[in-house]
Formats: sequence, structure tokens, C-alpha cells
Amino acid sequence: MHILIIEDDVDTARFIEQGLSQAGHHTEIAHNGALGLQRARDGHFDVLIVDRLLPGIDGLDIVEQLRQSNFATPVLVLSALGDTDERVTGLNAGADDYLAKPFAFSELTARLEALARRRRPELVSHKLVIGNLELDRLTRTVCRGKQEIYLKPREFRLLEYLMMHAGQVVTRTMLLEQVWDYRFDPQTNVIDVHISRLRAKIDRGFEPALLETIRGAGYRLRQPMANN
Amino acid sequence: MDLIHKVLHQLRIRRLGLPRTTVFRLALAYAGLYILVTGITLGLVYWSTSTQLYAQIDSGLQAESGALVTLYHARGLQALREAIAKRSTRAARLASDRQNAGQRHYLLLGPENHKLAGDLNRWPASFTSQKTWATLKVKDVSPAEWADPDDPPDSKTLDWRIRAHITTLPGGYHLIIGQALNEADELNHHILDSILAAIGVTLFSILVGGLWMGRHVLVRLKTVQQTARTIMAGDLSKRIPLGRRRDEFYDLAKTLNGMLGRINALMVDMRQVTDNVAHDLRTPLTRLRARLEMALNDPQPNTENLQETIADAIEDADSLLGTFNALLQISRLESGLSHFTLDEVDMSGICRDIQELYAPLAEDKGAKMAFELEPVRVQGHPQLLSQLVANLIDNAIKYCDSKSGLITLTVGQISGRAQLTVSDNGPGIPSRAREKVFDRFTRLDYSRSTPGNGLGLSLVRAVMKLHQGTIRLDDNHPGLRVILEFPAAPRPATTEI
Repeated sequence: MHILIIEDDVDTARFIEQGLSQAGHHTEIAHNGALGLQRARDGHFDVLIVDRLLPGIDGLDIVEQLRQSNFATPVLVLSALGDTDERVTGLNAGADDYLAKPFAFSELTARLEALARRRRPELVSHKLVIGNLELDRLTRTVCRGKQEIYLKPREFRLLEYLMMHAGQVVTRTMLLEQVWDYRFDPQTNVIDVHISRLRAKIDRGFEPALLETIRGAGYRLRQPMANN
Repeated sequence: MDLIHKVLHQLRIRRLGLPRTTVFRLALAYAGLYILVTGITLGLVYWSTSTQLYAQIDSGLQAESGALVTLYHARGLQALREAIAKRSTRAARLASDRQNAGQRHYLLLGPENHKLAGDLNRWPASFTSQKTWATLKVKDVSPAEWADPDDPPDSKTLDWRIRAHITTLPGGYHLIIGQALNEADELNHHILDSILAAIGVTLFSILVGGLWMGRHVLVRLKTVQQTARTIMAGDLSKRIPLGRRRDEFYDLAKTLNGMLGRINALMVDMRQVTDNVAHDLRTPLTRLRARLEMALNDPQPNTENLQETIADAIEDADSLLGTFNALLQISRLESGLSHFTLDEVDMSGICRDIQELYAPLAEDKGAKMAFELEPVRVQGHPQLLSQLVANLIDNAIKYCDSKSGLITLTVGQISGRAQLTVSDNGPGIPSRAREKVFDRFTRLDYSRSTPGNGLGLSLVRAVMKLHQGTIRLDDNHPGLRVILEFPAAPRPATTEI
């Protein structure tokens, strides 16, 4: 992916750049708002990372300006202001995702992946297929092989989200936000329990196991090689 | 000037820096105004007294002149000359003086301006017959009495003023009757001096009195200032002395002391929090460090072990971050600095969703969840309220009875107020600890072994404060019952906090 980082803090920018390069992405850094705005318009990036507290300008103003000129590239806003209402402000300004500092790097990469590929699932048919796992969004049924699997509504949405982001790491926070619409950190990892329920239904007794846990990051629905 | 310096010194005015103060300026302004008003009043008094005084003399002179003119018309020049000569004697003058008419002097001039009678010897060259009134000096007219070469008058006497009335008689004669004004002038001066003295004394007393009263105010203010300085220097326990009288300074001191008390309580609270934070974060940080150190010192490192250690370290760091974020969120909520928009939300819906989120967790522990949810709407922040319910249910699941756990969740309406209760059948919280559990990082003995950061109830309290609701802990016989009450529904759609 080509990623533009608009961040004035040199250390933070370098740390993000280093991490993203390691993950195999190409990055470019703009240390101020004006340069960032110009680079965003000139270059072809898959996703933008915009810090909110830039010298002399709020990162959200940049996002608003870009959106006004029909700029469609996904934007992830980084901010030290993590209140849920700040987040809503960010999304209203045209950001596609909002991540509060301090953040786990795995959280950032997972969200960037999700942003960069998010337009794809909407284009596919009402059927999501991973290996022999099939999810029908119209009939709201799930099959593994020939066997139908009965899921509760929330489990269905959880699986749907995982399948839409198959092959990508999704974090617990992302699941909580996207599947449950909660934007707080529950003290206990309730998501783990839901995942293990889902895993018991879709993976138990089937080969290969599709839903894997990525330590220190989250979960990934594996995309079997044969299907690629 | 010396006296003023002494007075100022006595009043300790310099030490208080009085000349810069409002009190001083007020005293000055007041004194100025007083002088203006008094000056005008006394000036009027002086003017009218003085006018009256001289008018009396004039009318006396006029009457005398009238009498002599009548005599002249009735009995002729000779009779007039005799009358004047008679009145011009020293004895006659003294007699007239005794009758309070003042000593009068006479002069009768012939058509060639030569003296025909009287005790005045001269008439100034500027004399013109057109004038009726003139004010001259003794030396200009040289009365016979003072013209004695053997007994010359002193210079002061020569400068006395003389008021004269001039009448032109038929035949070219001029009758001049004068009266020395020394007594009238003296009286006049005396009055003026008295008035000036009165103004001076009043001015002095106003200034001194004003400053004395001002000093009282300044001393009280100085006490407040000194207390503030001491507090700024670090002694937070210092308070402003209240004073004996219940005046406005008493009220001010009381209010300020109240404020200081509040600040102090917050400071103590903050110090407590900081101490707790330091203490509670030390443990996971130490663990994290030890893990990394051990991995570094591993004599035969292998990738698998290292990755395992790093993954553990990340988990430790994540939990630390989580604690930090929770702390930040609580402070932000409690500080009231952030803006949260409150909308009308369905409390039972929020509870149902959270219950659904936590159901598998309760199930895994073998606990039952019971709920009675009536649709109740409150003005609230859906995310914060969800987090609040999540924290309470999370606690209930953690602490309910491990064999036959039961968690009850109710939402209802009690006399117009939305009420939410979360109960469990665990060990409960002893009544003496019920206030303490809301403090950050408070963990009761039996909860030490369960995971958690001790911030859950602090957050619940902060959220309730934001919603202007109340929170109460009660005994569930057995277990804990948390009772939350929200204010009655109709409120403005958004609340700025």
C-alpha cells in the first residue's frame, strides 16, 4: 500500500513509517498541513494517516478540505483526543476511521488494511465464500461444506465482518466498534468469548481451521491458498 | 509638613503602601468634594456678612450726612460749621464711638476747596465733586487727631481705610463725612480667618479619619493577602483569620477559606490518585521489565521463546495502556472540561445490548442472568451509559457466587426517576467500604485475585456525575446491589458539561 503520513512530530512519524515499511508498505511523510494537503492531491495513495494536532491547523480541517474537492482516498485520523464525541466529530469531518493515541501498532495496521480494502466487499455478490465456508447475506444462512450452521444474529454479523476482511487481522476494538457499535474498552475481553463461540460453530469438526488468533493483535479469518 | 509625616507614620500608612491604595484615593476625593461644598457655603456666609457690615457703615454715614444737610438748609452755613466743629472734637468722637456708631470724621470745604471746618486736614487731589462715595486711607486725609507732629501715628494706623460720603451743597460747598474702617476690616478678616481655619481643621480630620478607617480595611485586606502568599509559598493548610465581627470581610474570608478547603481536598485527592497510580502501575511495569530482562539474558535464546516473551510483553504493555486510558477517561469526565452531548436514549435497550454482549461470559462461569427491563428513556450519552452498564455487569459476573451465580438487572421508573439496578449474589461490599470502592484503584481483599484495574466503579461514578444521577450501594442479602437513579426525563435535548 502507498500511505501518506501527515504528522508534525518527527519521532512519531518515523516510528509509524518504520512499522509500516516492515509490514511491506510504502510511506511518505509530510511534516505540516500545507505540504500534506498538496502531497495528498498530487500523489496516488491508498490511504492517508492524518494527525489532528498539526502546527497551526487541525488535521480535521485538512480532511474537510480534501473531501470538499471530492478526494475519495480513505483517511485515518490520529488523535490524542480520544473521547467518543471527538471521534464522532472526526468521522463527521469526513475521516473514515479515528484512532486515539496511544495506540497499539497492530491496531493501526489492521485498521489501515481494513480501510484500504473496504470498498471491495460491497462489490462482491451477496454470497461471501472462504474455502468451503459460505455466508449468504440475503437468506442470512451459513454453511460449511454441506452442513448448515445456525448462528445467532450477532454471531452472523461477527462472521460477516470477518469474512469481509478475510486474510486481514482485525482487532478486538475493531470488532467491538463494527459489530457491536461500542467505542469503549470493556475491562474483560468479552470479544474473546464470542469468538470462541463462533469458532466452535464454524471450525469444530471441520478442516482446516479458519478462525485464528493473532497474539498481541486480534483475529484473522484465514484465506485458504486454494481459493486465492 | 512634619506633623503630617508624623501622623502618616503613626497610622503605619507607609508600611501599608497607602498612597497607592483605593482607600487613599477615596479619602482624597472625599476631602476634595467636602472642601468644595464647604468653601462655597462659607464663602456665601462671608460675603453676606461682609456686605452687611459695610452697608451698615454706609447707611450710618448717609444718615449723618442727611442730618447735617438738613441743618444747612434750615439754619445756614454758620450753623453747619458750628455743628461740624462740635462733632469734630475728640470727646464727641469718643461719645459717638461708644454708641457703636464708630468714630466719624468731618470736613467742610468751601467753593475753592479750602477747609472751612472739620478734623480732616486734607483731601486727595484725585477728589472729584461728582463722587458720592470714596474709600481712602488715613494718610490721604490726615485727620487732625493723627496729624499731631509731637505724637505721630504709627504706619499701621496710616494705612487704615476710611469710608467717606461726599455731599455737594448749594453754593459750591462740599461736606465730607468719613469713618475709619479699621474695626470693620478687622472683624471681616477675623471672619475670613475663622472660615479658613474651619476648612483646614475639617480637611485635616477628614483625611486623618478617612485614612484611619481605610487603614482598618487595608489591614484586613493585608491579612488576606499575606495568607494567600503563605499558601502560594506552599503551606496549603493556612486559612484566613475570620475576625470578630460578622461583616463583609468575615463573609469574604469564609468564602475564600471554603474555596481553599475545596482546593485542598482536590489536591489531597489528586495526590492520592497519583500515589495509587504510581503504586498500581509499578507492579505490571516491573513484571514487564523482568520479562524483557530475562529474555535478554537468556544464554541460549531461540526465536520461539523470544517471540513468546515479546508477545507477553505486548500484553503487559496493552494492559498498562488500558489502565492509562481508563484513568484519562475518568479524569476527563470528572474535570467537566470535555463536551458530551446528551440525547434521549432508551435505558432498557442499552441494558439489553450489554446483557447480550456479556451473556456468553456469564454462561461460561455458570451464572444465570435475570432481567426485568421496562422501557425507560433518559437524557444520556449512549456510549458512556453502555460502558457504565458493561462495567457493572462485568463486576457482577466476576464477583457473583462461583457455583450458582445469579445476576439481576432491572430498569424501571420510581416516582418519575429512571432507576437501574444491578445485583449479584457474591460476597457484597461491607457498608464501611462502600464509599471507598468508588476511589480509583480501590480493590477489596477478595478481589485482588480477580483480573481488573480497580477503575470500573470510579468510571461508573464519573458517568453518573455527568448525567446528574445518583449511585447507591446496597446489601442484596447476599451480595451487592448497585442502584443508579437518573433525573426525571424532561430536560433540554443537549447539555453542555
